[in-house]
Amino acid sequence: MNISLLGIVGYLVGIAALVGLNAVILVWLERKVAGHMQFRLGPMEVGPHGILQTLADGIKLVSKQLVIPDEADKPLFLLAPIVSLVPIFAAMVPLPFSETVQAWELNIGLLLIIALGLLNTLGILLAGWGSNNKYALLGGARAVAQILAYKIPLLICVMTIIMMTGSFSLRDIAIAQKDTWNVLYQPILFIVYIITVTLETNRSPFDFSEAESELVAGFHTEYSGMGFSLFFLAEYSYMFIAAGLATVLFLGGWHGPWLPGVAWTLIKIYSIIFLMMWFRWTFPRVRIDQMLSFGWKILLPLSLINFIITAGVLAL
Amino acid sequence: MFDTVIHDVYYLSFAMILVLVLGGGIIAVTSKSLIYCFFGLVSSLLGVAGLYYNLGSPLVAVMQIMIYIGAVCVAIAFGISLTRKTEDEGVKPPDIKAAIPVVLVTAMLGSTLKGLEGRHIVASAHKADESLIGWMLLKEYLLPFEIISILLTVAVIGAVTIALINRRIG
Amino acid sequence: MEFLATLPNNLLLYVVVAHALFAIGLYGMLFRRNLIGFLISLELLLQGVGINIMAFGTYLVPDPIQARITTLFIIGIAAAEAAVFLGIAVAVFRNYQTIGVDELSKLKG
Repeated sequence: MNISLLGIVGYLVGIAALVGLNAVILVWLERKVAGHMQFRLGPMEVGPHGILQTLADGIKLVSKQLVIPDEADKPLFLLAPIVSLVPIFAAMVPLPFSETVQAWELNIGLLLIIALGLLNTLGILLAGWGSNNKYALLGGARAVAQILAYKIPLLICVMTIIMMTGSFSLRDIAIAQKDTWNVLYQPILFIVYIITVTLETNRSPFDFSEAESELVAGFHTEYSGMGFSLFFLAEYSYMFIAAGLATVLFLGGWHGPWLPGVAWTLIKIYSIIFLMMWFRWTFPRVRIDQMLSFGWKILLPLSLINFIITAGVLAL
Repeated sequence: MFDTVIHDVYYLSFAMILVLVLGGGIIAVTSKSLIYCFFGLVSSLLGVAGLYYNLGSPLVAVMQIMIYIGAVCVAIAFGISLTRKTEDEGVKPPDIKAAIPVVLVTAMLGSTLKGLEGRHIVASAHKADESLIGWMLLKEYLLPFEIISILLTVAVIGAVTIALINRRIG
Repeated sequence: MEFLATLPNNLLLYVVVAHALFAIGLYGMLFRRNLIGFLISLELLLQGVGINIMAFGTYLVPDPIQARITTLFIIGIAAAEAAVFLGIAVAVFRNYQTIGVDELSKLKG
């Protein structure tokens, strides 16, 4: 075990910085993208083109009073944002940013990230059960129902890529795409993966658990200030991790012409996040039964047929 | 100096895993609200996954998280929300029947320790090559693998059939 | 202190933890009032079994692959059992409107 204490502390500080910086950039990006897609300008006041808007928002959120409702279950209520946020530190470990920049090379890195992505939804369920609020309860239950729809197509998608590469380790998958990216071999799978990952991170058009027009504010109705910001940190960081997986699995990881590997990885990750934000302002929210039937009647047969065809082609 | 500190971090994390396992288990059986039981179970399962990792098998640890927390706990969460009735949650006060687990487990532990006397420990927890698991599942353990597939299919079909609501038309 | 430091490599620790989980699960099965509480305790019991098999397979057997495959099978069987149990629990709740183990006693006597 040749890790040093300096390595562990450096990793934790680096990931905390990355999570915070990512949230700052993404909040600004989301509001700008939302603004421009709706033919308006978005935040322009604070700083040039509103760059410092997130800082102002952050200061506001941190200085708000933490209101805990009287009848809410205090341990569950306070534990929920932490349960959502902590697995991010573990899920960022196997993610390769370039050939040499990776926290720790795990043999089963891919499965670990998928397994830990589930704990976000458990945090949402905890919040829903903990606040003594029927809107929060509905939001939490809906988030758990979403797991049913996306779990199997996601696993089959990932299994197809593993079959093509022959290894679970993210570094090997990225190295194997030196000549051609996997998206050229499997375009349909890429689309299925993006849809599944939108389902997993509770983004529009599948954001029932925080549906603003139906459920007041869903699972985070009773959270104010710091709790709310922790949930949003967690959501943006899971988007980052999911987009990171998409880059490594489909878009060739860090390979690219002139820029260093880390720059290419970040460019690809933020393009996929931009795509997910684009979805948010293009599609209306679907109903739960529509989502379930979409997941089971369209995504699952599509990914299964893809899997079988890939297995057939690889065997020949 | 950094070397001893890194070993202390390792032992500290192992102690935290043990606290997760046993603490989660105790919360899961002695709390009045079913939600606390559920989250005690989740933390216990996470701790057991950590113990599997310590026993040298990252694959079984990740499978534990994916199958137990990903599928079984989600199903239990659905079961809780569909059958919630706050009057009959809770735990009965312990009476004479509480001696049964204690006596039984002490007997089991005693006989296990007696059987372990004199056997020397062959290997310590090292990471074996886990790609062999896939090969063995298809070569030597093929029959149990196929039987488990049939078992899972039958169990799911059975559960759906039992819980099915028959909608009468007309 | 050195004894504590050798614990993560000690077979006895895993055996004791597995038996403790078994006892905790058994206690829960005897004393919880709710069928879902019963299921949660049952899952704890199966965890204890899994750790036991994994520990014995790692420390006393030259080839640890068998223990890992057996543990994976146990995880799969426990998942199937939980599914059937929850189907029965939902059906019972729909028919009797209660799920406490003391009220479900129509077959008694």
